Amino acid sequence: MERHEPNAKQKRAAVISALVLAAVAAGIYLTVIAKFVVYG
Amino acid sequence: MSAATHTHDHGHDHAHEHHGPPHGITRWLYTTNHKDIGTMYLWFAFTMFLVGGTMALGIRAELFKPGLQFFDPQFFNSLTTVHGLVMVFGAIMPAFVGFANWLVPMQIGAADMAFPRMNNWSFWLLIPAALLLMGSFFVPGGAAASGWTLYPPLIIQQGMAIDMTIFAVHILGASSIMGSINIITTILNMRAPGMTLMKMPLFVWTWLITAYLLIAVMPVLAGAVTMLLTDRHFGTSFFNAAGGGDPTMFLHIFWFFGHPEVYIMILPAFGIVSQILPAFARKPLFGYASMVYATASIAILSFIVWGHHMFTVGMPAAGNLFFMYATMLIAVPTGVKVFNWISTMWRGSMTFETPMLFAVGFLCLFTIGGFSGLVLAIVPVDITLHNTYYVVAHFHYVLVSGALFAIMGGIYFWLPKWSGHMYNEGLGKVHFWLSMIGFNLAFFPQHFLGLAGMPRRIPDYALQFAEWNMWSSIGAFIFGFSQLLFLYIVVSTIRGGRKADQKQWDGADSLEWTHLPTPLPYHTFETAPIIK
Repeated sequence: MERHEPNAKQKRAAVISALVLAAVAAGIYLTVIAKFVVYG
Repeated sequence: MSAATHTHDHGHDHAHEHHGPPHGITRWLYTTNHKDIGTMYLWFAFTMFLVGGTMALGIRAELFKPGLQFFDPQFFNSLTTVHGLVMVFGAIMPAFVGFANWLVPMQIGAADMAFPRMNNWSFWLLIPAALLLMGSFFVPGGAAASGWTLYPPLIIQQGMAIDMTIFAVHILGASSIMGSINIITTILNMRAPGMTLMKMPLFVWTWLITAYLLIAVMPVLAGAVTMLLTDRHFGTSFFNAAGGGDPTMFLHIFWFFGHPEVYIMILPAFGIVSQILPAFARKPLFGYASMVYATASIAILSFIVWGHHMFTVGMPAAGNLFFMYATMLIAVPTGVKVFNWISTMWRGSMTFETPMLFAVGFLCLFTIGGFSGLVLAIVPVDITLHNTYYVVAHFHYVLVSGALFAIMGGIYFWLPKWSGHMYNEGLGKVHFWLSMIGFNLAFFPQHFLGLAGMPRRIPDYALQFAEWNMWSSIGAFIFGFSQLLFLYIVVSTIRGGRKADQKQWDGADSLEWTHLPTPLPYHTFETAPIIK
């Protein structure tokens, strides 16, 4: 018996979730630095 | 912790023999199996726990009596700094990620994590980070000596060890963020049919919320240390007062990360304890929904209390009052949790095997740590106690008897499932009581030392602090060496012993106990379970 894999819908949702979360993390990082670069 | 090996050795499940684990070092280097990666996280965490613990024993040996015994003050400060960094980023956090890897997929009925290769990468990033951190002891100037909070101006003035520490923090942060993305996407997208969010075990809930916290605050720390790096090497003055920068601003940014970080280290512990207590009380968890909401409330409130770490920097009175009351507010959802745990045990058919002992120990001692936190939340009291041993006692009650006791209880709870063997119950109880006595002897007197005015981060002290310091050091050595017994128990359990049952604990009701054999096969949930 082969190990069951997530279906296509689950895979697509997982990739979208991951991209959104990665963008949030990158956004927070850049915002913290940009705030001090721009406003001191 | 080597479930896969035992699956083959004992031939429990022939269906898995065609795709069991590869052998040798490549199994661990290239593995994408959540159980293997969980095992590596747990061993890494334990190794770093021993490294950080050795530093702690060095600190306590130095403080055994007044006067300088073994170390010069600079090296002593390096020890306290790296001890903190190693324990926070190298031991406690990776241990909880290890639990998440082992348990989250199984408890939601998934075959594995959503991104197994990224999972592998998240783990292996820890190794260069740990090497950078430990290697910093051997460069000119010695390891960072600024305290684990990396405050400027000290952090700007020291040598290249600081750059190594900053890179280590960056790498650890990247690892944590990738791990968090994996955990969130797994929980949100890979649950078995019928496994609604409000049916998930509390451990999964606490990790879901913890992962969101990590994604929100690790980039803040990364931003802060990036700016430290540019202050050191690229002529900026974000935090360098000599160039017009503001060191206090670093404190604000650091603690905006740092206080949620405290909850990152304790929410998964709440999850573990919420699984252990019902199992040994043989009752369902009291107030499941309120536990979920309380966990979320604690996480949200953790973003608005950072100022209580810096009452003495000269914030406006209104700011101090805001942070004081916001901090006290956290006692409400935390109180809900403690109430629910006690209610879970109320009139339960309780037995006190080792995991239960650690869970009850957690409950008693973490509550002490919570109450001393409330004491420190009061601004005028904090101004007196700031930077004293009272603070050291407080956060060790939260992080050792809180997070660490939950981790140990969790290991005893799930080790039979993971390894297929029962640990030695008698030795487990000896380990618990030695830890309990050693811990309290080490850290309870530190409340007295702090109240008497002994500052933290000093290698020498006035004579009036001598007696409690001696007892504290004796307790620390009892606690430290009792962990070697823990190592022996775990290794001997993995290597053999009495066979564990599929449902070793009567009241355990999550999927790994009810749906999966013991020891766990290499791949679980070949077909997704249907949850009713």
